[in-house]
Amino acid sequence: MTPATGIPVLIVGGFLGSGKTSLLRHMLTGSRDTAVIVNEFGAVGLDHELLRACEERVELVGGGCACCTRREDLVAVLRELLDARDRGLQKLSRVVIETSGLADPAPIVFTVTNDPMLRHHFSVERLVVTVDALNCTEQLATHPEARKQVLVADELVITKVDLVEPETCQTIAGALRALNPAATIRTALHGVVDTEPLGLAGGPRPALPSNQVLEDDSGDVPHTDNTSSLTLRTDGPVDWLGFAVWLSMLLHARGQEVLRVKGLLELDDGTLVSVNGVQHVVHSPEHLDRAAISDVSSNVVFITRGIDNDRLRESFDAFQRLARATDRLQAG
Amino acid sequence: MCILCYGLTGEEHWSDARVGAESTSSVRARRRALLTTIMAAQGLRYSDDPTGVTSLISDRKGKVQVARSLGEVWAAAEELVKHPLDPLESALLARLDRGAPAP
Repeated sequence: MTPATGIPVLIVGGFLGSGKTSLLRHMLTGSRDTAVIVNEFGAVGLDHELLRACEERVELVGGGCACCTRREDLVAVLRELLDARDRGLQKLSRVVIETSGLADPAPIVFTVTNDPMLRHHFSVERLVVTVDALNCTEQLATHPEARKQVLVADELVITKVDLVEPETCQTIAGALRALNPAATIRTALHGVVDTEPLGLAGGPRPALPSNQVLEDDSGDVPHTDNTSSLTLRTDGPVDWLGFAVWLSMLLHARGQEVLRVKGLLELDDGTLVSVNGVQHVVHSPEHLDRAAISDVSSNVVFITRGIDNDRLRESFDAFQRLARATDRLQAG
Repeated sequence: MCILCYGLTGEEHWSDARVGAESTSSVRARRRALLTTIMAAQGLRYSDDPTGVTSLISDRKGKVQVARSLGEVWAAAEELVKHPLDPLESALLARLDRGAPAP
């Protein structure tokens, strides 16, 4: 998630004991004007001038959908930070939110992007989730909270890599890749994140022929609880309107089952745009620089629960055909 | 609220962002045509104001629902047809492929 405007908000999540605080400690070394929001002061041990604590306080909106939950605690703290900045009491160039180990990050994204005031001042930068190399296999298998955190992440950081064999680390990376093909995977040692994303054993994934649907189950951890991922690739450019109307309708009907949407689209006029959504919450599409991207073909990852991948593809295709046919009628 | 027409401005929807080189008026016209076809597949009529902010969805009995963003269009239509609209439903996709005759 690269914000177009607003103070960037970095969300750091991860299961209990997965190394979030170590990561933060290193990340915040030397940083200035960065506010840090944590769940509680005591357990953190961070010494930071702009540290704020908030106790999770939620308000369900949008008919009780779990992702459309407003974190009232966050709203209050973020408004307080803005107020302090506006009164000249402090500078504010970035906000880091450390979630609790069991927190669902989706309501945090929802809160920042949908609050009528905050949305004009803050933008979600990215959602980083730490994964404990030693314990993640068991955690992912038994804790739906841990799986949800992985599924919605932009970046996965495998921590404690010194405690496992390199092969185990590769296996974990493969499993994470299968769960969330859209996320960048890195490793971290004592809170220091490797700047290079982790490559998977066997080299990079081979290029797919266009229009092929990749059912991304390349890892060792099978998708359980009916979750699956699909990478939609297209033969040529995508009709943006057909995509936007389709995705909007899909998320209205199936938002709770579409856990993650992330990728890029090549449009008819050659424009490249990013698409990024967590359940019902979709970020404004952003134009991408062609020169900075090696593969410019349309490529959108869907992580879903209980949705048939073939049906999803059929539906996408049908709306694209409809958009094209409608254009032809209008032109004629 | 709009100070000229006293209309409530809609919630900004992610799809409202300007994408690509197409003009806003062209996008609105194409969106109108596309939504008209999709609503026709439900036996509904679609129209919107020239700014494209407020959409009206009506049924054959004349009942009307107002939507102030693309995100609200689907709920407004569901109010009229009294069932969920699902883009994964085979029957809907088939109707769209046939040019969306009303059910």
